[in-house]
Amino acid sequence: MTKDTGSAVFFILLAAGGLWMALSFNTMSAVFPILVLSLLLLFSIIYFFISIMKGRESTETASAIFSKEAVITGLCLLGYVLFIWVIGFLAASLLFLGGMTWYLQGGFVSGKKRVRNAAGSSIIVTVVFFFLFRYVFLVQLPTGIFTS
Amino acid sequence: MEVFQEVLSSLTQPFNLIYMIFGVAAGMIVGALPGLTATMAIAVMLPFTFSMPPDTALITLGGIYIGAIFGGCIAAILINTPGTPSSIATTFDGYPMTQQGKPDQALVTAAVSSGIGGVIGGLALLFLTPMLAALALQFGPPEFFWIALLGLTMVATLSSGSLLKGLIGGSIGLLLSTVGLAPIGGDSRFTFGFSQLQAGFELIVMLIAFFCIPQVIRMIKNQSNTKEQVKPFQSQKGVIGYVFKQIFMRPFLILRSAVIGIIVGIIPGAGGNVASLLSYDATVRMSKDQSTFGKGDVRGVSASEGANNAEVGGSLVPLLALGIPGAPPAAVIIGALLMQGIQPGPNLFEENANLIYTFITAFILANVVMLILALFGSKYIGRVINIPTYYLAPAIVFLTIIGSYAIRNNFTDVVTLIIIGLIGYVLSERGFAPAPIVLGLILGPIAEEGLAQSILISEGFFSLLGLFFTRPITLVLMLFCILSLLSPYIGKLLKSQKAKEEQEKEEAEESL
Repeated sequence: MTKDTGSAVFFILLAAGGLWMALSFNTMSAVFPILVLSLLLLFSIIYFFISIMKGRESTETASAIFSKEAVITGLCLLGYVLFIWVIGFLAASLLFLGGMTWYLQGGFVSGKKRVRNAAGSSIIVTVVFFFLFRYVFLVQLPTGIFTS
Repeated sequence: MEVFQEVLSSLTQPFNLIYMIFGVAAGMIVGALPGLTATMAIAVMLPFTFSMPPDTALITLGGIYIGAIFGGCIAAILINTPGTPSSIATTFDGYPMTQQGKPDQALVTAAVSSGIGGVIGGLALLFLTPMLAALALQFGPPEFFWIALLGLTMVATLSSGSLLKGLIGGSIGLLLSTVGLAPIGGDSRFTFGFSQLQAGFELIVMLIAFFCIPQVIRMIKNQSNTKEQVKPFQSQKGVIGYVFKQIFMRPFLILRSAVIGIIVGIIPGAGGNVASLLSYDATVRMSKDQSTFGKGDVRGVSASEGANNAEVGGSLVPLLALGIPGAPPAAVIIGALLMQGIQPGPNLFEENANLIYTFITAFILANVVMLILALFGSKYIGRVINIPTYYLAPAIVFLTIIGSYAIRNNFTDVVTLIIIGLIGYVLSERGFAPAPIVLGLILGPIAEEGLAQSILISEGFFSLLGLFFTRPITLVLMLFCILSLLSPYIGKLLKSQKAKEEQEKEEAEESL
């Protein structure tokens, strides 16, 4: 199965599941989702058959969607959100910016300079924007589950 | 007269002027950074405008949009990497000019062309929008339903390589727009028991998620690619005068580029990249001497930049008149308007005339500001290209998170941003461009309202069919929808026919 076929199957399942859910809505709530999901189902079925026909003709090149850098970045983003919830915005941002800057410098900067750059950028960016949003724009930023 | 006085009073406020200059400069800086698009520039800066009055917010965002589109040419000219997709065609002749030791001439040409193109685009915005809005006042629910579908078909056709993937993307966007309480039936749809989703997805969060997060991941993925550094260069005397002379000697070049830009901008989804490429192509085709294009011809830079900045004005025409954005950055501006409690559409000129005319006038003025800043600051702004990804990427993520949270002080928005952003990354890597999805999200409520109201005013199934398929305007819109869907195939057919004819001609010549 090619990746396009996989995507098509995913969309077919999504549309079918959505249609099944939409049947439980009242008429006026269901009419538009049913129309949209029917279109999605139709396009996905066409996409499925096209991908099968193309799959026979060509072999796919290896994709780099889930490259090491992409996976680590994705995990860092999820970790950042989790940290904001647990320890609050200020501490989580200091950790995220510092950690991410340190990681991304790999291969470019090393030693003490790498740590100094990471810590410096983390503190400057976080503190400046934290004060701007907290005290100028008066946004109540999350303080974490231990303090709220 | 009252409107004129209001516009004048708003534009003479020092804060508005300062924010305009700041917006243009910030846009130029972000636009100059390869990988950061104009859409991203506006999306990242959007949270900073929440606490501003509506006129100041719109003036700032308009300035960012204009500045970012121009900023893209700085990287295109100096390091052969378009700062934004709108500057793709600028690299063709801009970088060769840099290689020939004429980077300042290329930058000044881009600045002057962008400034003039932008002003012409602004004038189109000023005169075309009220006309389109007046026409749109005759629209009823079925027409709005078809307008939304037309927007989607155009986006699906133009913004992505695959029509089918564009249509699937548009359908996903429409589906995402149905999450939450139904506007007419009142049922809770696709919320999976999460009360936080009852109000639906926050549009700005979704815009940031689809446009910024995937871009940041791609930046990080590609950061190991060797990056060319901007070298300091010596300015030459008299360049500004020389460039102005060159441009005024060829008035039709910029005028044609601007007209192409405006038309492309009005078509939903086409964007500045299409405008600049079409304009470049037209300039090459209409030139007697085509041999210098691609080797540092000043006309190439002028054609590309004149069109992409005129496209900015064009893309705002359907946004203000119909509530349908002409380009992805305009989609973010819709979010800004909604945040300020302003509903774009045909009634905008009746309900918020002062504000809209202030915005349009400021838009024209911002192009002049951009021209001045670009003439004297491009070479300095060009240095920001050297900021490494390891500083930039985490800072962008930080700004998107703080911005998403600040919209309504809701942590769910931050979670949504990251989850949808990661899904958006996978989708974009699989060839599903973000523009059709986001457009679906914006056009969904318009289409649903049109459909639901049509059902309510109709008297049975056949009356509903009559509403959708027999009214003159709906018929015209349907025809446009069909043409829009068929246009890629018609284009392919014409191309293959032309190729076949040329082949037959060559064979005939050979046989002779």
